[in-house]
Amino acid sequence: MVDDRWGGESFDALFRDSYPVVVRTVYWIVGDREVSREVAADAFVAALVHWRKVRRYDNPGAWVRRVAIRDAVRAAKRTALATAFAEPAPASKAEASLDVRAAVATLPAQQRAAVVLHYLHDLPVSEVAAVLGCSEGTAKTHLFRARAALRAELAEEDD
Amino acid sequence: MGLDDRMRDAMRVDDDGRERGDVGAVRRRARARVLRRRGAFGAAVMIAVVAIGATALATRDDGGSHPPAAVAQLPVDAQLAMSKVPRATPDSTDVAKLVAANSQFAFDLYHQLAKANTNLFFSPSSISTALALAYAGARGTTASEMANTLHFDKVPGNELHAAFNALAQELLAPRTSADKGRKPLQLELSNSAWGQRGYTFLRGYLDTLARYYGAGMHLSDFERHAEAERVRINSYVAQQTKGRIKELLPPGIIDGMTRLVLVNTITFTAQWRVPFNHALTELRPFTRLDGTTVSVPMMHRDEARDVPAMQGDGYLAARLPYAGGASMLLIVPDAGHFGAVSAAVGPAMISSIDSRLTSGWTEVWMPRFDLEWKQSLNETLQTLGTRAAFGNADFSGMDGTHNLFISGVMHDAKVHVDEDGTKAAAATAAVMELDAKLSGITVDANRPFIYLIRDDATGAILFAGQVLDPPVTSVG
Repeated sequence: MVDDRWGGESFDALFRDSYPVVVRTVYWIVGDREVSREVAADAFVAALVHWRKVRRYDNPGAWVRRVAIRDAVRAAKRTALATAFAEPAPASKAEASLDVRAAVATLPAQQRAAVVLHYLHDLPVSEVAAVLGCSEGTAKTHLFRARAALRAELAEEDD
Repeated sequence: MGLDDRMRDAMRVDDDGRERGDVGAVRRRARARVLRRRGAFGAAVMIAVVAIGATALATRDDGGSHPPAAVAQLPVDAQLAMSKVPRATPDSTDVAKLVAANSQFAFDLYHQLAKANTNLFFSPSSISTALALAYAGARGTTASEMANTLHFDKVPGNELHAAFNALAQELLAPRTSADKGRKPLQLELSNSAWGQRGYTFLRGYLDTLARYYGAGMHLSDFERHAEAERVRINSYVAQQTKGRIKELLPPGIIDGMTRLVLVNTITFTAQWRVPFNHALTELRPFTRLDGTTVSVPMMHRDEARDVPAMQGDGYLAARLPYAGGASMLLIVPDAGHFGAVSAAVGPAMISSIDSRLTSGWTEVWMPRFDLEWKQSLNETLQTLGTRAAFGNADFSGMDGTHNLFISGVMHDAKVHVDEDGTKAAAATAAVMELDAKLSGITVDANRPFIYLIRDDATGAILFAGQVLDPPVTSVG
């Protein structure tokens, strides 16, 4: 059996398919490319440590994402907001995301996590709450406040 | 384009190239972690065997833990959960060691914070105490790093919390004033803990908070009402500090994941033993580090017999006494020497100043000023070596798990210095320039200066700071 203690091909496939999007998810919370890679890699290490259990889940990728988001929120709380999203965006396609990155940088970590789950992963409020480990009401509040803040930030720039 | 579309478009732009990652590196790290864990588990089993009959915590392989025998689950229907253990009578003989340790931390902190080249005011005493409340629950690397940063390793391990208790009781002892018409200073300290209702804390931890810090646990509901709890803690702090610190916790720092908030306040209200004469305050130039000047109200005393002063290597220093047994130590570097003197501030320099201060006919010029300094200390503390506490932390001494870590340390300090004295909450400032006049020294703080407010009996540094650019206010 190829799928041994160290993951084998099924872990390779999970890593190949999920790693880029986990990095991008974490990036929208911590605002730092290097930290995003570290946090994402840590989540995959955790998955492999618990692989016998994790591989039996319906969606191991969602488990990794949840661990990564939890650690990303912790990392974001430790880092000053001012330093988030500080590095320049790559020139290509950067315009579309430049203002949005500046707006997201003003949000508290939990709200950033809620926003990325909602917009990048299309998760409904109930699943946002499950990932963040809070009640649906709290998740709703995070999203409501985040959207209000984003609307204000982005509208100001449009003026 | 609407907000939702705009957000989706921006977040789905693949602007990071193809992040491929290194699956081999992930495998190597996972393997190393599993091997390390097996070793650690073996050790835990051995300790558990030795400790049979005592309260032992055995960690399972899946990271879950069995509840320990002595736990306190915070009730959901009370407001304050106070351990029944009474506050200990102060019996520690290690107060001097603790003051030396806290002072060293105060200077380490000053050197880090002074790098920002701004006005500065903070309370080392308050920061050390608040972190001691967390340290009481820290274990392993988390504890050793904190002890190293805070210099708690200079105090015998089992005496630390008793020494904090004894120092607090000494600082809070009734004070008298020998000067007619001058009220003795008022110093107030408070410690409090704010814990999530229903969350399980170890009884021993709550006992330590009660016995040595007089701190009860205020029951809070961060899970459902994070913002309301933030406002409640801020109101409590405002009340404890006579309204001087109004918003210790900024929005967003408390959220649904918060489980415990540890708070220390210090409030200081003191009159100078001899007040400055209002009539002598006049607008005079203060020269900033860059050579530019600003006109500020300078208070003035001439021929002050009660203000000992000295001339050091590149600076002048003076000690301005308050009624009731505390004083402000002003250090005014000579023009062009601020950087060198600031870098040298430490136990050796302070002890040299203390031994060389001589009473004379000191003339003092010092700006009247108001200053508020507020900052997160997360990065500073990590720079000083407390790293695990902010990430992969072990605060199992609080709750028996490895789930808690420090997400933020905030400090807010405010000082008002005028002709009558000083009002401060969590911080202070001083000004200097010395010149020979008559047989005495003129300390003219008309240029950037450093200041410490100290308790005279113990030498504890209650507040510290620097003034580089005093705020412009009117005379009168």
